Amino acid sequence: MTRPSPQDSDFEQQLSKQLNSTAAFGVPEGYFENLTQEIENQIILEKLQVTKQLPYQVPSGYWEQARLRTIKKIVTRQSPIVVMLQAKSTWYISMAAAACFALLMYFNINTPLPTSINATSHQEVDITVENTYLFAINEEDLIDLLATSLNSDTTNQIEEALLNENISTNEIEYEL
Amino acid sequence: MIETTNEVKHSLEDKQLIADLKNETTKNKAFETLVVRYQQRLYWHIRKMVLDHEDANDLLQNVFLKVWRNIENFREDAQLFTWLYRIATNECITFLQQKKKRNNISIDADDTILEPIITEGPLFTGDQIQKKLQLALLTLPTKQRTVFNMKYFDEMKYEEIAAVLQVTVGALKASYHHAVKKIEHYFNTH
Repeated sequence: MTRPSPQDSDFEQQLSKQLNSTAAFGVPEGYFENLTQEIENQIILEKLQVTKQLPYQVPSGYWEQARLRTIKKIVTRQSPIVVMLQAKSTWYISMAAAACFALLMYFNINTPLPTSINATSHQEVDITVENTYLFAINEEDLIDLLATSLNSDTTNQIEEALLNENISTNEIEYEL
Repeated sequence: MIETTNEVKHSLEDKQLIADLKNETTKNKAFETLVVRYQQRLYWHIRKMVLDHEDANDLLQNVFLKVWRNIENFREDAQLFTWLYRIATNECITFLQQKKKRNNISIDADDTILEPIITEGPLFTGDQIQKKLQLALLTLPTKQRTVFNMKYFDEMKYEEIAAVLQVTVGALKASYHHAVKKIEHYFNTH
């Protein structure tokens, strides 16, 4: 075994300087920072004794039918409908709309409008009014209300009748 | 090396598949290939999120329906499987939010509403530890649970998950670490 000469040692040092041992290889950014974390993850999961086997099942025969079911649903069923509708929808819809309109017009014209009210179809109904509201109405308000809903002649007649008969508005409220 | 070769092969196959899907004359056949190629991966991704088989089945069909309707708009700036996973993840998140809304629960709440599927569901076959892990996962926020599922069960790379969820790798690493810590806490307290 021969000892390396001082010249060999110098050569190695020079070579080492020229060829930086790590220069040719790169690592992803942040690799060493995350390495500890990655190892810790693995240790934790190993310690928990969990496995990568999934605990779920599929019904028997599912995969045999799954492909056909998907293709049938999406390709063979959907595309012809889309094509058919695109090609024919315009005149179908127009025709249907015209037919509906014609039918509506026909029934509308041929159905006679009611010209008289059937006397037996209505009846008198007693209406109970909460008196609390009426007590809050004073005499002037009552006259104003009547004045707005009746013509001036009628209003005068009512006022005259109330005066002649000496009926106070309180009595009217009470009767109501 | 083998993995990289397979990735390149799948990527090329997907590129051809997308081209066929965008062509009206080959669309139907290509769609069939797409369903065969991705239905199981997508199903299990969805099932892990919603737990119930019937819900997973409905959502899977919705995902394929969206692919069928929107393949013309797929700009190919992401890989096909990334796009599919993104649609599936969004469908699951929307589904879970609607489920919480119907039950008058805040949409930001965890997913413990799904507990009965694990405790009473007929298609759950796991042992006690598996059951406990699934219950622990339900105490995580939905997006954190998604990250855990993709990293732990699907063994996806952070970069792939980041592309699906459109978040940074750093945020994902932190999210996964928090999820693991919370699971550990759940195991220690239950």
